Amino acid sequence: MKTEADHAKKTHLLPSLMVTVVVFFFLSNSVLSLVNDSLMRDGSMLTGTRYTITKDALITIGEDDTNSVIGTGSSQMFKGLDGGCIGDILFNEANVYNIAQPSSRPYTDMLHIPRIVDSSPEIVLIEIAPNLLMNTSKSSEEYVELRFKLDSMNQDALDIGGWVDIIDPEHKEWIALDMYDRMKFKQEYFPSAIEERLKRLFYNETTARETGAYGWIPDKSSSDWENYLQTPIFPADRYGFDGDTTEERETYNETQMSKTGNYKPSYYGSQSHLALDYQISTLLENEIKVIIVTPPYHPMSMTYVSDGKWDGLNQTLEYYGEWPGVTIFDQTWETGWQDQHFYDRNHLDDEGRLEFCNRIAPVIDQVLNKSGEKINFDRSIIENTSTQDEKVIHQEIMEVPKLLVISVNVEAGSKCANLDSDEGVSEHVSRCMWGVFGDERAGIKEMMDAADDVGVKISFFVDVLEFYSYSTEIIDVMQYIDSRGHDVQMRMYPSMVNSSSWSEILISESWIESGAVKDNYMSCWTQETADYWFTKSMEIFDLAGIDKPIAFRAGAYRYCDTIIVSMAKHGLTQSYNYNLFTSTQNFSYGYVQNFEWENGVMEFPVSYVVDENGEIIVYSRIDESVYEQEWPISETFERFFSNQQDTRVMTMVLYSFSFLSKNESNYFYLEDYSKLELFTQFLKVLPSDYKVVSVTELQEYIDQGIIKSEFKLPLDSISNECDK
Amino acid sequence: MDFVTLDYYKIFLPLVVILVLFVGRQRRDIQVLLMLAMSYIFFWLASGWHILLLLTSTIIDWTAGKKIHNTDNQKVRKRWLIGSLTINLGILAIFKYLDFLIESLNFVSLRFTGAPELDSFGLLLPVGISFYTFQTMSYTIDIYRKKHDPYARFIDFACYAAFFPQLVAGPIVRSQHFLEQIKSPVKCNSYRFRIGLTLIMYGLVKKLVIADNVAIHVNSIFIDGAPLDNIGLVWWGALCFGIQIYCDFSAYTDIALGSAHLIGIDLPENFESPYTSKSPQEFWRRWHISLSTWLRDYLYIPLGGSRGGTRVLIFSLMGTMLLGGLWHGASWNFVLWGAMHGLLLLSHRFIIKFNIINKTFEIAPKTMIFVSWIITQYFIFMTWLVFRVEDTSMLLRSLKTFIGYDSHWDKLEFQESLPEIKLMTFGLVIIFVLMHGISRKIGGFKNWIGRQNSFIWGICCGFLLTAIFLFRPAETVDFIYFRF
Repeated sequence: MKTEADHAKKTHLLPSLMVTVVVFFFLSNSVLSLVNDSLMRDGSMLTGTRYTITKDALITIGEDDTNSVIGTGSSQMFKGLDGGCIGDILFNEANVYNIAQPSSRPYTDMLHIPRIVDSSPEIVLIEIAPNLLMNTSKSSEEYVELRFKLDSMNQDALDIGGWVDIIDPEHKEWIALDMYDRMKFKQEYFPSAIEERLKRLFYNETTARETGAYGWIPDKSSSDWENYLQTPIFPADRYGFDGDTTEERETYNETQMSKTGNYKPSYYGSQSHLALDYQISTLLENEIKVIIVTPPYHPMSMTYVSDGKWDGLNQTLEYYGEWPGVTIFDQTWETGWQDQHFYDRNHLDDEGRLEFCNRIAPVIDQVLNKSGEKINFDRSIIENTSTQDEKVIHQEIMEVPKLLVISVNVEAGSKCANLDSDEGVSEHVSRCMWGVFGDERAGIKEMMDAADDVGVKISFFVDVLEFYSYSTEIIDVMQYIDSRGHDVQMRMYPSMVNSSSWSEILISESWIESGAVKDNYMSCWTQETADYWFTKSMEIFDLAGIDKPIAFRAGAYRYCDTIIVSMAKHGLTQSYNYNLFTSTQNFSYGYVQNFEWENGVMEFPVSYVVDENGEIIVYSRIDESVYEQEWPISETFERFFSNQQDTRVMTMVLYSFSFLSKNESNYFYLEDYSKLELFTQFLKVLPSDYKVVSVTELQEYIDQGIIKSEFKLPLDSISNECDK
Repeated sequence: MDFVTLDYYKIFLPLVVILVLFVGRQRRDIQVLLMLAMSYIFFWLASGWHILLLLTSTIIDWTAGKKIHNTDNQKVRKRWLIGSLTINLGILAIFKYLDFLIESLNFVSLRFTGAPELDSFGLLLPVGISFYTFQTMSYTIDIYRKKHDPYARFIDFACYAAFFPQLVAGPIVRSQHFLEQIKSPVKCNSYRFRIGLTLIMYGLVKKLVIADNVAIHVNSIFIDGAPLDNIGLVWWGALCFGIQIYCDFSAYTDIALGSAHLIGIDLPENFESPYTSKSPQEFWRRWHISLSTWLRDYLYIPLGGSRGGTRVLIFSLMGTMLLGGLWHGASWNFVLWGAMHGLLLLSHRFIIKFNIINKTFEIAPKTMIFVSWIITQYFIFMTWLVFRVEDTSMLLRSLKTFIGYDSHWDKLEFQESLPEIKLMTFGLVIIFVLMHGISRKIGGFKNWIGRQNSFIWGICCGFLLTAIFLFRPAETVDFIYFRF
């Protein structure tokens, strides 16, 4: 029998550990490749199988001895560029490859630049479109994460380049820069991959797409591979306009065409601009010529683009057009595009691709003809445009719209009861939210009707804690607003949690574990209490099955640092709490506009304007009084905007019971429809200088850098707000 | 911090090894002091201010132990013992059982008397309180029984009470065992170090590969509203939970033992392939060994054990198992779980007295061993339902289905009620069952791996690391016994 000492003599720790490490890396890598790789491409793991081809495509292109042209960009480029067609009609001998990816943008495409350089193409086509010139919004982060992880996990050391420095610090965790990170990302797909393998083995079942279907990709060793890289499998026309009935087409025209007009491209400085600077300059430095391609839009959808709205795109094209070695192929503003060219409002169909092919081929030929010419690219051209003077010019050119957020507090307090009813309690919601009094009604539905008539969105701040008093009635309200396409945002009135709910909450496991304390004053909430209630409120949104909110307003404007911290934790980016004249806030920075808390939450204060005497008083708040007064609305609004050149966001405060009146006991009742009519009239006569936006629409302006904060405040400036 | 936190392996454990083996090298007192300091830091990171409760328990038992030892006056000795037990059990009762008691009182009073509802205190359960309370209590009781002398130094005792690997979820270590380990400077050789690493990796495989993956199935059956009248689902759920709780808990023990090994401390085993047991009695000799021996020594035998006739046996066995069940958590489910195990143990004791059983064993030993194993495991896994399903109506439904009463089998329903990843989990369960059986035969896989030469050890551990890396699910589940 061997003793421990005998074993110890024969045990060598270092070699043991070395073998372990070697076996681990070898085995993990091999198993991952064996199990995952082919499944990632056959449609059983990913619907977007095309996302996995880029590295192999560029290796194949690099091995091609003929001149090569590579097209990058989004689905507009992907569905527009038929490399086979272009190659056939070029005078020069060249293969044109399409490696564009659906939903791609310069910020995601830049990861491939080092390998594109390594594959030595003559020309790279880079797509610039109005919807691509912006920062990553919250809603597109999921996509960026997917792309970053998929692309970087298939890369190696050759792919690492200057793009690493451009990645937003918050997105760096989605980038694999070494072998272990790459294995880690691949592992995320491993359980599903092994499941698929076992399914195939035991049941002979597969979830993989049919061979030859749209989205399918051929094996890189097959004869189809190179053809596919030039002419991918495009979606059949019958799934686009060609397959629509007249009715379907009419509905599409009415509801979808206008979306083109929603894009507001930035002029400079967005993530996309930084990525473009990197992409284009790197290619030019390596003597690779660049053709910037802007895709065509359906002519009907272009009618929704208001004057100057896409100046950011034009400015960007103008800027890069001055760089040596860059050619602009602008089809966005080019005429001649017709209905029959389009698959939908912004993608080409077979006929459109042919037209695009005929239009771009001469441009490529032209550039190829100059292939012997040296590009004298000077990197200082990038720095020149980043000078302060240039930025000032950009700032002046950029027209910041005058935005109005109509925020409606949706609540049903004690003065909403029907005192004449035996079941008064049950009428709180129907009276103060729906505005229903017998057969008459003037509430949130009518508010939305008025807004829909003029095509604007309202932001409803629903007091979600009333769920603990009125249960599913609140859920119904939230779902209804959402179904109408208006914003449902968050409001909380802790006092609306009734005693029976409290007795359940206090013994619940989640409450006990949270460390929260019972306190109806939100400005006194501990961090644990704030976290608990924000988590619970988010669960109510889940229960309603609607999108999570991004904005918050506290009941009675009571808030403090813990609220702002918890907002950020729960993805709420806009606070609508700062109120110059409320007695519930101890802190005051005076008459200020949009500012930012140190954790990135933007504050949009309740708006006040100077009155006719030039003073700011409590009665000068932007609310129903604005349209109930006699003088023109623009006179009031201009007093606000003339003082706020930079920020341009005005917040109007209304209530779900704004169309009701109060009786002698201060209980709400519906006197007549005059208030509703005034509101409807206000929306109709609102001058076009002012744009009503919902909170969600405002977020897009923030993401694009158009709406910025005036200044930043530390959170400890509201840490002593508790005032009962 | 716990054993599945990356920081534990990246920072905490290496720091402990460096401090104890290199900074405190050959200086026993410094080593103990460093282990004590790191244990308190570990506990602080895991449970915050509850560290004060641990300190209180430590001081009380240290003082009581000394006082009991220093006098021959039986009354004084007894008074100190009762004082110590009262304070220890009092802390345990307040933090673990008070809210449960209030809820139970409210349940009764609201239904039968209409008396006003009492507010519960909402106290958070201090991590590991059940474990360290039993550990320190055994120290005082043993001194009272004159089984051994008290520790000579306070820091030794404090280190015993707070030793970080076993502090949170055991094993419950006896004081003399620990004192033996630290009476001379602790040291570690390469063999022992490798055994430690093997145990940690083996534990992580059990936790992250097996327990956390089968937990997804358990949750989809017992939480996400699967049809509990489908016998296949309930059986699969019970099997998966049995595997989950074993792999989860024994993984904790493995990692605890492994961590202790790295600094030269040997802790006792807590599990020995319990699902190979062929009787309830054997199961309790193989499951949570440190608790079952504690209950035997400090509860079952003092209550009378098996030496006082049938009535005393029933009383002591049922009393032990009911309290043992309650030890697991403040819930009637655990009491019921304990009661079921008590009944199983009693039934077994009575059944084996029948001659026909013994004769059948003599005639067909292999068949009978197999039948015993099947019956034992059937009931053991049935009791896991009580452990897992908290909702009373769901529990009753599950138990009925488990015994085949008012149940049905529907393959499609079975498949649709399980999560997307099914076959991989089936595979992991099969691998577990095979390994569990083989492990018993070879005296434990982890020990077998630990004995191999550098090359084979490296390959085995490379496989273990690969399994952890590849098969871990996206989300890690908390250790189940953290709640106890």
